[in-house]
Parts: sequence; structure tokens; C-alpha cells
Amino acid sequence: MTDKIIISEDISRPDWLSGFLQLLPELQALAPAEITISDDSLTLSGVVTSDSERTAIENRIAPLLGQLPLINQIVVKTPAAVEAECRFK
Amino acid sequence: MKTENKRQGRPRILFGGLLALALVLAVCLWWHGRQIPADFSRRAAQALTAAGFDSGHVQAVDGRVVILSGEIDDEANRQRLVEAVASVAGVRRVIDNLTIIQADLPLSDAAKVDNRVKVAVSQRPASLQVRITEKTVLIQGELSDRQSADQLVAAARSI
Repeated sequence: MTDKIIISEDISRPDWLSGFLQLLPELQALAPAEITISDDSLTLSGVVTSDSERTAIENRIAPLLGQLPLINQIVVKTPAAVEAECRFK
Repeated sequence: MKTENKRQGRPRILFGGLLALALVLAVCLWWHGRQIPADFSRRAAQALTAAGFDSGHVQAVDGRVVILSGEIDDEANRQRLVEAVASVAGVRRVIDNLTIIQADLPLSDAAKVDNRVKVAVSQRPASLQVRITEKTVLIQGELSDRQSADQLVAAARSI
């Protein structure tokens, strides 16, 4: 666990923080994953193995964000595609 | 001969007397002239104090002209102050150099909203980036307080 958070008084208190805290456990299924959040939007990226899984994660996360738009950049890679990719490497 | 001398000496005596009288008159005018501004200044200050104002508003007195300066809270008090000084006997003119200062008024709703907008605009938005791998979690970004950051770190540890 690496904490590189900068605390600054001239930063506004985010409305999205409580929702963001709740969505973190949802990301276990997505690892490796990357989430970027600001007042504009939340961008979520990672790899899942099916479309249904991608949609399910989006459906669980979106209600936690309130009005904050979710940009879903989760990539679907089937096990066969992942295996082929590994072989190519 | 004596009569002739007396005739010639009379205008000299008369001239000398007139000269002495003029001299005394000039000294009196000069002396009294010096006293006038101080007298008006004192009486104007007394009039202001009696009307409930600060006597320091009398900036200067030039002859029979009183010059006022300083700050006053509203137009009504300004007029009362000027009238108090103008009513002093002998004052010919009052020069009003007073400045009206606005008292702090309670903020309207619009002003409160405006203030909140100004505060919000002066602040930068919080932002975070979380990278999760199978073994590590990296959190970076900017938050407004340590408590929020600690909550975030605790939540990230549970992943």
C-alpha cells in the first residue's frame, strides 16, 4: 500500500469521497485496475473476461457516484484472447 | 514770533497724534485678527461636542471660514454636523470636506452566494488516482484534509 496523497487547504472538499470509499471493494474483481476521479468524472479501467462482468461492475459503481459521470474504460478479454496474447508475447 | 511757532507746530502734533492712533489701531487689528481663528475653532468644537459629534472634525479655521474633515456614518449626521458649526455666531462659511463611510451591512442572500462562489473558485478540485495490482495499491492525488485521506487508505487496505 503506497500513500502519495497530498493534503492542501486550497483543495475543495470532494462530494464524491464517501461514494468512492464504498466502491473500492468492488474493484477487487477488476485487479489490475486504475481509477481516476475528480469533480468532473470517474474513469475506471481494467480488464474483465466478459461483457456481463463489465456491465455488472458499472451497474454496482454508478449509483455510488451520484451525479458524477462514470467513464467506463474496462476492457473485455476472453480467456482465449488472454491466452493467445500470452503466447504471442 | 511765538504765535507763529505755535501755528507751525499744531499740524505736526496733529499728524503725530493721528500716526500714533493709526499705529494703535493696526496693532489692535493685528492682535484681534490673530485671536479670531482660535476663537472660532474653540466655539465650533464646542458646538460639535454639544451636538454629540467629535470636535476633531474641525480641520482648520481661515478667518471666519471653518473647514470640516473626517469620516461620518451617514448623510443625515453630516448635515447636522455642518449645521451645528454654521450656527456658531460669526461663522461666515463652512467648507464640508467630510467623508461618508458605509457601515458594514448584513449580507444579502445574493451576496452570500457570491461569497461562496468566490471561495469555491479560489479552490482547486480534489482529485485521486488509484492503481490496483494483484499485490499493491498506489493512491496519489490531492485532498483537502488528512482525515479523508486516512479513510481512503483504510478502505484501500481492505481490497
